[in-house]
Amino acid sequence: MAEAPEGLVDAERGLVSRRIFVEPDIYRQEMENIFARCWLFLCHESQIPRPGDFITTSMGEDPVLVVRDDGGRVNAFLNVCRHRGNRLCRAEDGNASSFTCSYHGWSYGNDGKLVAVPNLEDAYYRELEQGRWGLMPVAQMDSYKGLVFATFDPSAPPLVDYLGEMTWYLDNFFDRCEGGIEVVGGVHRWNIGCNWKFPSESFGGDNYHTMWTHLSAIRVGIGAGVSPASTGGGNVVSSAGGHGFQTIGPSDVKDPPVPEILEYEAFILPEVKKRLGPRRELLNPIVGTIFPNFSMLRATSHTFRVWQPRGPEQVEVQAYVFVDANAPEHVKEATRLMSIRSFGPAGTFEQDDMDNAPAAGRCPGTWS
Amino acid sequence: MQMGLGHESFDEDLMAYASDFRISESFHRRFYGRWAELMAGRPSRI
Repeated sequence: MAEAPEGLVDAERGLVSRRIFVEPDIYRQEMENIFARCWLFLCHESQIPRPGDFITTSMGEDPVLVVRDDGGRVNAFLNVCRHRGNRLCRAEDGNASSFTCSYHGWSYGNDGKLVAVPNLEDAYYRELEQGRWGLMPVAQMDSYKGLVFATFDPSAPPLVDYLGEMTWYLDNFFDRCEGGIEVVGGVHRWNIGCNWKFPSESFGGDNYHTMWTHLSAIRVGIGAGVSPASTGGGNVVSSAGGHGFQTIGPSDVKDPPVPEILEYEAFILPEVKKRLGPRRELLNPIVGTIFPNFSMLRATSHTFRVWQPRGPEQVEVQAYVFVDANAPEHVKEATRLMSIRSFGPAGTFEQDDMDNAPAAGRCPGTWS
Repeated sequence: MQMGLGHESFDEDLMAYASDFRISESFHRRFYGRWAELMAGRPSRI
C-alpha cells in the first residue's frame, strides 16, 4: 500500500494522521486527486424515468445537472451557465424541456445545447457561435444496474472495471429481484460537521460501533439488532480499490423489524439466492461503501446516500430510500417509514452517528 | 485502525480481502490505502 503525501497514512500499520480530517490544504488536494478522478455516484435511473426529468447534485463541490433528454438519453452536465458561470438550475429535481439562467437569460435544451440567447441579433450581431457554448458534459458517464456514475477524468478506467468484483456486492442491494429497485419519496439533504471520510468509512466497514453507538435503539427494538438465531457469522470484505462491505452470515437476518417487511423478505429469499448464486451461501452483505463517497444500507433501513464534501469539516448528506421495484405497495410503504425513522436527519440511528462523527473528527491544532 | 491487523486475507471465493472475524478495521486500511495512493498521484486502479 502507498504512503500518503508527507506520510499521513500508513495503511499497513493501521495508522492515520488526524490532519487528513481537518486541514484545508489536504481537502483541496482531495478535490483534485480524488473527486476529479474517481467515478462518483449521481443518481438512480428510477429518479429520472421520463424525458425532461432531472435532478441536481454535485461531484465533489462541482454542481451537476443530471437530465434525461427528449430522446430518452441520460446526460450529466456542470450545472453552470457558460456565459458568466452562474448556477443554472436551482431546483433539486423536476421536469423541464429547457433551463434558463436567471442572470442574463441564456437557455439550454435538456440535451445541453444552447438554444436561446437574449439580444442575439442586436447585441451579439449574430456573431456568437452558439454551437460552442452548450453545457459542459462530464468526461465519462455510465450506469450499473440503474446506478448512474460519472467521472471528470477522461482517462479513468471503465465503470465496470472501477467497481470490479464489488458489482456482486452491489447486486445484493440493487438487483436481488426481477425489476431491480426504485427510489421512493424524495431526497433528504442535511449537513454534518465532519469530514466526508468519516461516514464513508463507517458504512464501508465499521461494524465495531454498531452495538455500542446504537445500543439504546437496539435495546428498545427499533433496529434489527441481533437475532437470537444469529450465527454471529459474516466478515468485512474490501477491495484494493477502496470499496468495502460489512456482511453477516448467509442465514442471519438484519432486515427492518417490521412484520410486513420480514414476511416479504422471507418470501423472496429463494429468488434472491437463485439470482445471486453460490457466493450468497457464504455471506450476506448488508452495508457498504463504493470509494470514495457512495454508501448503502439494507439493515434496519433501506437507504443509499452520497457523502458530499463541503469543506474539510463539513459534509452534505444526500440520502434516499430504495425498495424492490416489484414489491407490494404495503411493503414499499412500510420500508419507507421504517427507513426514515431509523436513518435520515430525524432517524434514531442516524442521530447517534451524527453526534459521534463531528466530535471524533475535531481535534486541537497542536495534537495531530 | 489496527483492529484485526494480520487477521485478514484475500478470499478467492469472495473475490475480496476478507477479515477473519466479523468485526475488523480491515476495510479502513483498504479505504485509506486507496486514499493515499490517489493523493500521491498514483494511476487509477482497476
